Amino acid sequence: MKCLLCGSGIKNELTLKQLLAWQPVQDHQVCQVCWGRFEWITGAACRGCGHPQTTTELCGQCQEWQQQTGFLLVNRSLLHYNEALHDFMQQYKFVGDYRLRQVFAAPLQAMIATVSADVIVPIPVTPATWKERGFNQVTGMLSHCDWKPLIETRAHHKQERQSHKNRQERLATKQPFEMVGAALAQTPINGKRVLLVDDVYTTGRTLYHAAALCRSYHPSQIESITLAR
Amino acid sequence: MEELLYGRRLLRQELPAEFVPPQQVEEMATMTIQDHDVRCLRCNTVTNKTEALLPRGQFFCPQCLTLGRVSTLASFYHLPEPNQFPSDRQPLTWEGTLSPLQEACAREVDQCLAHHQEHLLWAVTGAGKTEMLFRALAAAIRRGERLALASPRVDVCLELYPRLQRAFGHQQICLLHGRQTEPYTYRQLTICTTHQLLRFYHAFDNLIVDEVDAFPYASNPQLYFATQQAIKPDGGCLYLTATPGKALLQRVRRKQLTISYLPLRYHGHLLPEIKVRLVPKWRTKLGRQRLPQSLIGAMKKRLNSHQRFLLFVPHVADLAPIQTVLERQLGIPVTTVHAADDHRLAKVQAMRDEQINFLVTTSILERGVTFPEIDVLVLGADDAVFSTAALVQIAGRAGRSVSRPTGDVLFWVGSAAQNVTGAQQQIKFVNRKGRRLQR
Ligand SMILES: [Zn+2]
Ligand SMILES: [Zn+2]
Ligand SMILES: [Zn+2]
Repeated sequence: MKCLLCGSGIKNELTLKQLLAWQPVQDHQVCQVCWGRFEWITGAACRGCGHPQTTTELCGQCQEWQQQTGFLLVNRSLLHYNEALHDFMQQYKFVGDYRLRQVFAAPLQAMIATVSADVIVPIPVTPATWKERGFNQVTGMLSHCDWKPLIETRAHHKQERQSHKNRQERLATKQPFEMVGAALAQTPINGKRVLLVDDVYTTGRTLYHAAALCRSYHPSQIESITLAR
Repeated sequence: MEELLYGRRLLRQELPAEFVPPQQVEEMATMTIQDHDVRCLRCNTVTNKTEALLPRGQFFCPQCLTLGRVSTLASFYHLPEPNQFPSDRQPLTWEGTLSPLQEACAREVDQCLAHHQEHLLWAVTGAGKTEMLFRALAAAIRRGERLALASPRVDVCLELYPRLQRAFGHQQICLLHGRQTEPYTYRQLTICTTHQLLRFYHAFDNLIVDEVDAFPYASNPQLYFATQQAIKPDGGCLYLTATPGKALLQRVRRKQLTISYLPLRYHGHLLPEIKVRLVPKWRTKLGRQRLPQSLIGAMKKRLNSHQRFLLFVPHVADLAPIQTVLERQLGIPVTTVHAADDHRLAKVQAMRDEQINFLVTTSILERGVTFPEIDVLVLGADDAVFSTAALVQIAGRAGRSVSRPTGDVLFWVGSAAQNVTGAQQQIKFVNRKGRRLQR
């Protein structure tokens, strides 16, 4: 087997710990070297956005969001957005190597399982992205989750790459999403615990838009999980 | 802008955003879908459907992603090659001369290109094969043909480009490789890596593939496919190599490929033959800070007579322990270098400037990095990292100058190995042919 990220050969070595713990063998198809370049968020983090820091205090960004929107979105992320993760997203989203969905699918879904949620809602991609990329990088990682396509990108919303904007420009973007009426009729969210899932939490703009939209349908709770922060 | 598509097969994303495909553009399928797998029509790789799957029943090719993703969501754009080049009656501005032997070979290459043959030219390292292509290329340019010189190795392309640009002063040559930033231009003569050939389709009247057996081409059937796609259906292909691999020689035996030899180096001498010394368990002894006495002796002898040399070892990890032992035994500082060494260029330059008399190295360094009048020593030549082709190349580093056309090539091996005997046989074989010419 070859590493999905660097192409070098991988030997399927079982560690003694894995054998003794009777754990299922992880099948992320990434070599030890590449795997070691990712930074998992384990220690203290902002109790709002999940940004790794020394305390659990609200970070400046979350305080701004609270002022601006009147609510706080509690977010948890699996990984720190470091260079390795940047390269990973580049290869997965922009080069379009859909095989990479398998790399973090298991730990991401395990994290989702730790949150008590009634409805899992992935952030959608635009129709133009569907046409070109042919996949949604978020739902690609949710193969074993029962997620609902409750929100979609508004038809007239111009597709702009968030990653090409600076912070100010990103914060100023208009609500890009709308509710999918038919899906909402099947899965009403009033009084339900909603969990939003996205790939990367950068400024929080995208998730706050999605959360604001959901909030107008009166869920009992709304939180989010992203692959990286 | 239409010419971007002449003889090429590109995805929309490989073209500039403002490009509007012309009316007559041919749209071609990117993949064929079979029962259990899909085939990429750019690189010819067959991938299992589960691996190549995209949502909504679409597929992509995971093999050639670096050139832009091929998927069933897109199609290729293509325009047939029109050979729209300004006429050039005197393309060759090179004023050098060829030896009688090179001259004969150049005539042969000229005939191959004129008849669009598929031909293998087996020319030993240091034969001066680039110069022997000039006449044939000039004639093909005069005929209005589209031509490419491709190599699996970027460094070979980078070395060939300025030499050809000087030799064909009026021509603007297009250079293509994975690391470049300059955009593609439509030219009569292209120099590119074999990987870049995947973007061409029925473009070239003649294609020359240099160092055909160098990594990674040798083990890559996709790139062989690429050369066939890039040539026009009635186009010719000339393979150049110093160490042909099994696949090519098999095609020669089956008469699918014609062959000619240039078994003598440009100065008319034979390749130095390899002398082998058996040193069992040298690696275990290295662990105890010892190296074979015969190796130390050979090095001392050369240092005393000011004979410069290269010592090759199998692995980067071998460099440090060998350096330690050598410094103790020889009593002088020892310089080691490898491909990923940050100070590689400076160390190679120091060797060139004769500030140091030898280098301990793992790789054959770049092509074009040649030191005149050197001997070549290899410790652990039987290690699997050295292919037969690599050993022939390494041996070819010795005796590359007119002033000292011969040189010693000494191998120390832990045990007998196929790669070493293969290299010895290849050198003996071309030398037999060479001796006949010398008479
Ligand atoms: Zn890797
Ligand atoms: Zn925060
Ligand atoms: Zn392909």
